[in-house]
Order: sequence, then C-alpha cells, then structure tokens
Amino acid sequence: MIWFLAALAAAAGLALIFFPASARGRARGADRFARIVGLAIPPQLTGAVEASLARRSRVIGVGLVVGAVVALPVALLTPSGDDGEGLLTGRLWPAIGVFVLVVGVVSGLGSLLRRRPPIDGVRYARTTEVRLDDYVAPFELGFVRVVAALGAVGALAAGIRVALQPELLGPSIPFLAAGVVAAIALVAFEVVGRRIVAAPQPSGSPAELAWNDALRMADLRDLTIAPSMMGAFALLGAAVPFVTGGRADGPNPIGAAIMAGLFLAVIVALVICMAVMYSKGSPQTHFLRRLWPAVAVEAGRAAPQRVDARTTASGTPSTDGSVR
Amino acid sequence: MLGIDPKSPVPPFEQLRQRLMQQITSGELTAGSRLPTVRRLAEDLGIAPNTVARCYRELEASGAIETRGRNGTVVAWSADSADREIEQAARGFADRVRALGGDPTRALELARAALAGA
Repeated sequence: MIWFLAALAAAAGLALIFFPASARGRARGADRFARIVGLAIPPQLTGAVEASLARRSRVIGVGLVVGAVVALPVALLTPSGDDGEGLLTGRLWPAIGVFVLVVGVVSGLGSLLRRRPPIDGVRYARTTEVRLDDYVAPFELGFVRVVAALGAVGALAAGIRVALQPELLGPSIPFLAAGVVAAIALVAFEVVGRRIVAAPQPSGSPAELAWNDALRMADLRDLTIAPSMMGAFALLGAAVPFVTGGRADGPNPIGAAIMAGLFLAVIVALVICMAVMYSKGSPQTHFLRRLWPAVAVEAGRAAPQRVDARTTASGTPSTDGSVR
Repeated sequence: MLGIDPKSPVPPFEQLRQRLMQQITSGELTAGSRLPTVRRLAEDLGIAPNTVARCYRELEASGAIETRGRNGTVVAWSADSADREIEQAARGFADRVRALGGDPTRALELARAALAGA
C-alpha cells in the first residue's frame, strides 16, 4: 500500500513535470484559476499568467516527487501501532503529513525563486506594507496556528503519558509523529510564508501586481494544509489513552465511544469553521478584499472573464489601483 | 499604488516624493499606515535604495511620515494635524505682525497674495 501510494504520487509529479498541458489546457487552467481568485486576465497578461500557472504546476510536480521520496522512509520507519495498515492509527498519516509539507514547502520555494522578466516601462508598487494576513484570511490563519499548536501540545501530552505507561508506545507513535510534523509544518509555514510576503513584486502594471498577489495567495494557502491536517490528527491522538484505557492490547468500549465522539466533534467544528470562513467570502478572494477592494467589489458583481482588446475588463485593476 | 517612469524627465526621487505626498494629503494613505521598507520599495520600483531612503528622509523632515524604529515607517500627516500646524503658524504670523506694529488688514492682504503665489 505504502509503496503503491508513493509510486502513484511520484508518477503524478513526473507527469506534471514532463508532460505539460497543451496550449488549450493551459488556457482552460488559467480561466479556472481566474474564476477562483476573481480576477480577469487582461490580454497583455494572458501569456504571462498562463506561463506562471504552468510553472507553478511544474513546481508542484517537483514537490510531489520529492514529497514521495521523503515520505516513503517516514512511512516505513513509523511503527504501525496496533492495527498494521489502519488509517486512523496507522503509519500512513505522519507520512502523508510529511508529503503534504514537502509539496507546500517546494511550492513556496518555487515562488521565492521565480524570476521576473525585466520591466522596460513604468514600474508599479503599492505604498503600504503587506502582511501574511493580507493573503491568508485571519480566521484561517488563526485556525492553522491553533490546530497545529494544539496538535503539538496533544502530542507532548501523549508523550508524557507514554513515558509513564510504556505499553502505550505502540498505538501512540503515529500521533506523536503527527504532532512533531504539525509543529515543523507550522514553523515552515511561518518562515517560508513570511519570506514569500517579503519578497519583491516588480510589476509593469497594477493588473500584473494583482496577479502576482493571486499566485502568492495560492502558494501560501498550500503551506497551510500540512500544519492544520497534522495538527488535527495529533489532537485526535491525545485521546488514544482514553481509547486504550491504559491497556496496550486494545480499546475499551467507553474509550471507543469517547474517540468516536471526539472525531465527530472535530468534523462538526471543521464544518462550522468552514461555514464561518465562507460567510465572509471565499478565502481565495480574501487578498482581493484586503489589497484590491475596488476589484473585489467589481468581481462580486460580474464573473471574471478573459477579455479582449475591444471589451472592458471587470475585476482588473487600473493604473490608480481602481477597477477598470 | 504608485508608478515610477524611468523615462520621465522628472527624476525618480522627485516622482516618488510627489506621488507619496499626493497620496498622503489626499487621504489615500491615512495616518498610521505603514509604508513598505526602503529595500522592498526600491526592489519593487527598480530604483536605488538610497533614492527611497532620501525620499523617506525628506518626507520625515516635512512631518508627513515618521520612523518608529522596528515598527517601520508610518504616515504621520493627517488633515487634523495639518490644521493644527497651520493654526500655530497663523498665530506666529499674527504675533509677528503685532510686534512689528503692522496693519492687520494689510498683513492679511500680503498673506493672501503669498498664498496665491505659492
């Protein structure tokens, strides 16, 4: 199973690297991304946007391959606990966390290493400082930080429990590993994320700057997946002692009920969080509302579209930052 | 949002100073807004960091912005603070006219002419 998943991820990554999308596929991908982020693609930027998205796709491909290579030994070295290949307490979860973390970090590093072509004419810049919460919604940011930190604390608590009752080591190891991965992923998100936000954005037009912001948002949100996913898993792991009831030979009925209740509570909390998040607008368009408010208002009125020279774009910033 | 045209006869320093001042006085940049770091703005605009630093220094000297150490550079000017400074300058002007024994009507005419010429 582990070998199959690693091979599948590596194959997907290699396909993204060596078999780039056709011109039509790239155009479709750019249109899809434009709809998600609520930005129109001005004609003069079509080629640049499609090339940036194709490059991002290749970088993710590299991330998938590297992630598979790094996650494989993690999966093989993590003790499986009491149920071998089981999903909840199995060795797969920490490896999945490492895999997602590596993909996110590689995607972030790809964003940092992106080279911009030299700009010949007028260069544009915004006159206010940007921060991480301009790209990732504060609610989402708080959620990632709290869940990852709680996961790390939960893993620490589980570690103390294991130190006191060594027989719990087997079933707890995947959760302990998940807690460690959550903490590392949170640090990686904070460090790489801040580097991405601090990186320069040389732009030849406000629309180019807005698209640069959109790509940044996507890279930063990729980085939030690993800490939140592994944090949530490690939090569940804090309940392992309840499940086993202090016995290494298997769960007791009360513990299993508590575990099921906790699992349900986490799912309900996640659904509520998503509902609250989306009630304030899509998290993918948060950067528009924060950095391009006039564009966000316009994008809310009309669905973004690929524009030609004869039509006026909705959701495209003009030179003064307002909507053209 | 500001744009710098490297081909313009106006030097980049002056373009930058004018655009920032315009945004500050128009209220587009409100008091307390944090400006980008010197290095970041220089890299974004493709100009020398010294140019941006000099511009920030001049704006700071004119009271439009202020540097708060690790907290970066923030906009200090607001319509209220400008009003207060004008009121203070007007008081100074009135005191000086009185000290010189000047005619207030004539002094106001001169002040109006000076403002119209500015």
